[in-house]
Amino acid sequence: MCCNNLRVKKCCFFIVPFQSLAFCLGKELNIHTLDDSEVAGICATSEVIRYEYHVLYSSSYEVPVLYFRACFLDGRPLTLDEIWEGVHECYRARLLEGPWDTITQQEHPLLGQPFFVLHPCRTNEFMAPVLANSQRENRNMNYITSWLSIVGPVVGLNLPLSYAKLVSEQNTKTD
Amino acid sequence: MATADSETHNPLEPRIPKLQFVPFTSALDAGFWHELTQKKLNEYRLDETPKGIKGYYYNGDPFGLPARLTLEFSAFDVNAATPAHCCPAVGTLYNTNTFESFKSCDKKSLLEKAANEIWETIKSGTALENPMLLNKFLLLTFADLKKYRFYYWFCYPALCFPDGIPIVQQAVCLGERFSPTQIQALQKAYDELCQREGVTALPYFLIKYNDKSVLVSLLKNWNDFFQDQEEKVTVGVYDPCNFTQYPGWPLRNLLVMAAHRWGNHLHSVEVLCFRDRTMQGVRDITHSSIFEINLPQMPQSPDCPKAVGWEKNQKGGMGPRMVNLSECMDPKRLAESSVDLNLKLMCWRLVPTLDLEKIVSSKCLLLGAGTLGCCVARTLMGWGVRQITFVDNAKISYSNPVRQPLYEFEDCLGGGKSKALAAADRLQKIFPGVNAEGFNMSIPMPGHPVNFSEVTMEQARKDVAQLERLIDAHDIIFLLMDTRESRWLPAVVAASKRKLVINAALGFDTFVVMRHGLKKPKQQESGDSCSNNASGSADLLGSSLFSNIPGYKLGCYFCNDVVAPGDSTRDRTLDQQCTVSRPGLAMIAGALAVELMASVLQHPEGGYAVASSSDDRMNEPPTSLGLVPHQIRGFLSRFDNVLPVSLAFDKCTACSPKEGWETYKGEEQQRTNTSSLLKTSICYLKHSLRRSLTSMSERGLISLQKFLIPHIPS
Repeated sequence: MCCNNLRVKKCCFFIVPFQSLAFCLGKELNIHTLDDSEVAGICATSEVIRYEYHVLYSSSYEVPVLYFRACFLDGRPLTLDEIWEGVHECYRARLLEGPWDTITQQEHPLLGQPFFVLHPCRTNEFMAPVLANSQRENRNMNYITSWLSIVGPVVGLNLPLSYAKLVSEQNTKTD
Repeated sequence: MATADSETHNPLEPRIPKLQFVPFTSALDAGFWHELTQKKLNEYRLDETPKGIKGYYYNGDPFGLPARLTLEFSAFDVNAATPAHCCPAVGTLYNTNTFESFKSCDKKSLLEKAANEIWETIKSGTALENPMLLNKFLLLTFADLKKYRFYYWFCYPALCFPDGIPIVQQAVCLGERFSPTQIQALQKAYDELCQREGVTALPYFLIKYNDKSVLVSLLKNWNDFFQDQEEKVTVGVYDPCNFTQYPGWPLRNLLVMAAHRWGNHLHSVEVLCFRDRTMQGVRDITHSSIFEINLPQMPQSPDCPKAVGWEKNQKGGMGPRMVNLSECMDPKRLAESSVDLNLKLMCWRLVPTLDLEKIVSSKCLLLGAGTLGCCVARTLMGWGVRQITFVDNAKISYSNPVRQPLYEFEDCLGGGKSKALAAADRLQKIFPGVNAEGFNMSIPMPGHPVNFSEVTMEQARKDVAQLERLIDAHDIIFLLMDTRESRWLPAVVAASKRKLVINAALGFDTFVVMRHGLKKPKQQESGDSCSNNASGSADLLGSSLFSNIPGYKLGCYFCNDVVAPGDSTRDRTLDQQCTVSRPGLAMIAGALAVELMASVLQHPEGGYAVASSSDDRMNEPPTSLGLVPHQIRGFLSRFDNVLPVSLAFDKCTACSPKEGWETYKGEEQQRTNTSSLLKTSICYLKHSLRRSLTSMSERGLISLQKFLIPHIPS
C-alpha cells in the first residue's frame, strides 16, 4: 500500500505582468524562442514537500509498519530534523512518550532506499485494546484503517472519517 | 515580495486577451534518482541511447500547488500502473555520460525532434486514437555518481500558434456556470467513461450538455459525437493546473490538433479544465474552470509549427537544475546519519537532557592499542566519537587477534603490521565517518634507559616532543598501556596541560578504571594555595574524609603508589611480563573507561566534578547518565565493582605540580643543555619518591586501605 501527500511550506506564488519579465528569458541558450502563450512569472517560491507513505508488514513484530519519506520537488529528501519540524507540536510530546515510540530511519526492505519508520515495537500494545473493544461490542473493524488513523496523523497522513465509515459499510454488506 | 495585480491589463497588450498556459513543474521523487543510479550502474552503463520513461500528473491538488509532472521509482517501467485518478504521460530519457555532453547536447534539435513526432501523430491521426501521445516529455540527465549530484532538464514540447489564441469568454469556475444537477451528471458521465475504458483518468474528452444532462465521449469519437455541431464544441481536459484564469500545459497540443483537423469549419471551442479533488472525503469539481476561445487557423503547411517547452530552472532562467543527493545516497553519509540517529534515540526517550555533542566532539588520544585500546576505540565509536588517535610501538602478533578486536590473522603475517596504524585503518573501515590516526612510536619510560647512544637519545627526545604535541591536540587522554611506568610521562604531561586523563589497568582478574584529578586552571592556582592547605587539613580532620572530593583534589594513578615507577618487566618470567588477564576483563574495563568519560563529560563541571563513591549509589545522580566516580575497581572473581575515591598526594611523582610536572618542565627547558633528559628526570624520580614515601605512610596508606577493603564502614 502506497500513498502520496503534498504539503506546501511557506506557500507564496506570485504573478507579475508578462512583459516585465520577457527580457530576462531565453538568453542563456538559443533554445527559448519567446513563448507568449506561457503564463510568465508564476514562480513557485514555495517549498513543496511530497510525503510518500508505505505500509509494510513486520514479520518480527507481526504488525503493520508505517514507512515514509518526504522530499522536495527535485527529489532531495528531508532530513530527520526537518521531518521533526513538520510534526505538529501537539504530537511531538506524545511521540516522545506515546505508545508509538519514535521515528527512526531504516532501509525500505523492498526498495532498498532510506525511509523513516514509526517504530512498531509498541503497536500491539496500543492496538490490543482497540481490537478487544470492537470485539466486545461485536463491531466490524478494519485493522489497517484503525491503526493508520492512530499513527498516520503524527506524520501528516490524515485519514478522513469516511474511510472508517466506508469500511464498516462494506463489512455490513458482506455480512 | 510585491506582486502585481494579474487583473490589470498592460496598456501595451492587444485588446483581445490571449490565452496563456501554466507550464508543468517537474517533480522527481528520491526513488526516481535511486532507480536511475541503479539503471546507470547495472543496465545503461555507457549506453546513451534514449530510453522510454513514464510519469504522471494529477488534477486534484489543493490550491497553491504547482502543476506537476511527477516521476517516481516506477518511471522506468513504462508498463507500470498509474496511480489512481492520475493521468499518465510518456517520455524519453536522454542520460548522458559526461557533464560536457549534458551541456553541449543540442537542446534545440531535441525539442524540434520531439515536436515533430507529436506533429506527425496529429497529422496521421494516431494522436486521436491515443491522446497520451500529445503529452510527451523529454528528460535530459547527467548523473554524477561520485558526488551523487544529478543534473537534469525537463522539456514539455508544445506546438504553438504563431499569433496566439484569442479568448472569447473569460474563464469562470464551473460552479458558476453549471447547475448542481449538471455537475452531478458530468461527474457521473466522466466516471462511467473511465470505468468503461479501464483507465485511471482521461487526458481529453468531449462534452455535450444541456440543462439536465451531460454526455461525454472519447476524443476519437469527435466526428460522430459532434455531428450536429459545426461551429462550436466543448472539450474537456484533465487539468493539473490550479488557477481559474489559466489552463495547464496539456491543453496546448490538443488545440493545435483541433485546429489542424477541424479548424476549417470550427470557429470556437469551449474548454472545460477538469479539476477533480477529494478533500476530507468529499469530492468536488466545482473549481474546474470553463472558458471559450477562438480557434485560430493553422498555416497551410505540412511543416511542424514552432515548438517550446524547456523548463525554467528554480531561478526562472533557461537552464538545467541540479540536485545533490549525497545525503541519502552516499553510503558513507548514510552510515554517518544512521550512527548519529541511533545515538539521538537515547536523547529522545531515555535521556532527554543528554548533551551528545560534548561526547561526539571530544578528541580522544589512546595510548596503547592492545586489548584495552581496541575495546576503548570500539566503545568510543559506539558513542559517535569522530576523532580517535592511537599511539603504540608494537606489531601485531599471532596471539593478538583473538583478544584485540581490531586485528585479524592477516595483520600478523610478514612480521605483523604496526598496531597503531592497523587499528586506525580498521576504524576507518568499520566506519568511514571516523577520523582515525595512528602513531607508531615509543613512550619514554622511567627505568628504561635510553642513553645508549646519541641516536637513541635523539629518538627519545623526538618521542617526548611528539607525545606532548599529541596530548596538546586532544581533549581526553586514555592510558591503556600494559606497564605502569609507561603511564608516567603521559600522566605528567597531561596533568600539566590540564587534560582529562582516563586510566585503565588490568590484573589477572581485577582492574582499575579511573579519572585522574584535574588540577585547577593555572591562573586560579596561586590564589588558592593557602586556602588549599586549610581546607586540606579540614578534610583530614573531618569525618567525611573521602566524600565530596572535588575533581581538582582527586588523585592520579601514581598518587597512591608505594613503589616508584621502574622497570617492572625486569627479572620477570614471561607470564609476569605480559599482562595475563581473564579474556573478558579488557572488554569490561575498556567499556567502563569510555562510559566513565561519557559521564564525566555530562557533568556541568566536567573533570572538576565531585567524585561519586559507592555510598552515593542510592542518592540522586549528579548527571543524566548517573554517577561520576573517581575510580572503578573491579573484582571479576567476585563479579563485583567498587567506587573508591582517593585524594591527590601533594608529593605525587606525576600529578603534583611541585614534585611532578614543574620539575619535569624545568628539565625540559634545559633540554638543549642536558645530555640525558630522561636519565635526569628518572634520578629525580627516585630521589623524590624516597622523600614521598615517608609522607605517604601517613596519608597514602590510609587511602590505600580505604579502597583495598572498601566495605569497612568509616
